[in-house]
Amino acid sequence: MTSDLKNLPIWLSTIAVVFVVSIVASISMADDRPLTPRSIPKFSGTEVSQRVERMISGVNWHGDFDQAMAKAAEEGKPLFWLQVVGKLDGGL
Amino acid sequence: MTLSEPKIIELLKANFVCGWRNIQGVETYAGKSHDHAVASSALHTTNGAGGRNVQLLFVAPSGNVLHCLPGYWDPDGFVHEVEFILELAKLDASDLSILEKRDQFQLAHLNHAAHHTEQVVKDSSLQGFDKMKEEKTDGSDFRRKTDGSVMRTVDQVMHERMARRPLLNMSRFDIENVVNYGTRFYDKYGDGCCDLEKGKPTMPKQKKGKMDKGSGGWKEKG
Repeated sequence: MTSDLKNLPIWLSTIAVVFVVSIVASISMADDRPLTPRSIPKFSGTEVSQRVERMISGVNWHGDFDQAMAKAAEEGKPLFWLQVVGKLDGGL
Repeated sequence: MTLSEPKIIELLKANFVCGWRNIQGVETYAGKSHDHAVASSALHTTNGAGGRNVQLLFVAPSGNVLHCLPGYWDPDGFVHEVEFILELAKLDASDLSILEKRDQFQLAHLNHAAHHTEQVVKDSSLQGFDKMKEEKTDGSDFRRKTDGSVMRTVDQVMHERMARRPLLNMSRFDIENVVNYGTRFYDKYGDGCCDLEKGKPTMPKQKKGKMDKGSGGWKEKG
């Protein structure tokens, strides 16, 4: 019993260290966590609409390839060119 | 749904000029699909599914094509490819000769494919109806060289196809061949098919009898 009491601060220190390490690890891993939501088999129509709106408003989308390419050359950035059957904001 | 992920939006804004176009009825390689309103639900699928319906092209400021991801690409796989593409952009902008750049471009694509994780490879399996089509295609690059079975995945085949097109200018890039695999028809309901080549898909077996006849959608076979 006396021995247990003497070890108590060590146990507490150990728990504290583990706790702090866990928090730090969680924070440092936050940006690396998987983005692909494998546990969600289906997005609802409402969520799809919200996501489409977010995608359209979040990025400055060019509609003309030559103009976009000229802008890419001017800024020295690659062009991300999306081709779809349908419209970005109007469904397929 | 990949492009609506906040992290991916930030990635695109920070590193790319972005643009898009509708290829429906414009390009001969454009695929077919049922109509879908914006507010219809969305399912997860495999990387490369619907390669004729969606193409994600990455073009260097010089006009040379760095990569083409056909169809759906999940968020983690997409981020992994974008990191690789940004390295290719540095290669294209370097002072190396064009021959050296092309050599390195080829090696980079093949090495990158060889280092894809098991998860990426697993997530890039052909859809059932695309696999059926490839099994009927002589010389398909989806066939394994060991036993000839159509077991290879879209992530691997796409890097190989890009390696055969080293830093081609967009004006010379034969996208119709790059996205040429599987069927012309793709729909989010997956393996339900169909008279695909005639554009008359039927309802998936597990969905039969569950859809409202008045809602349009799947056509009856025959």
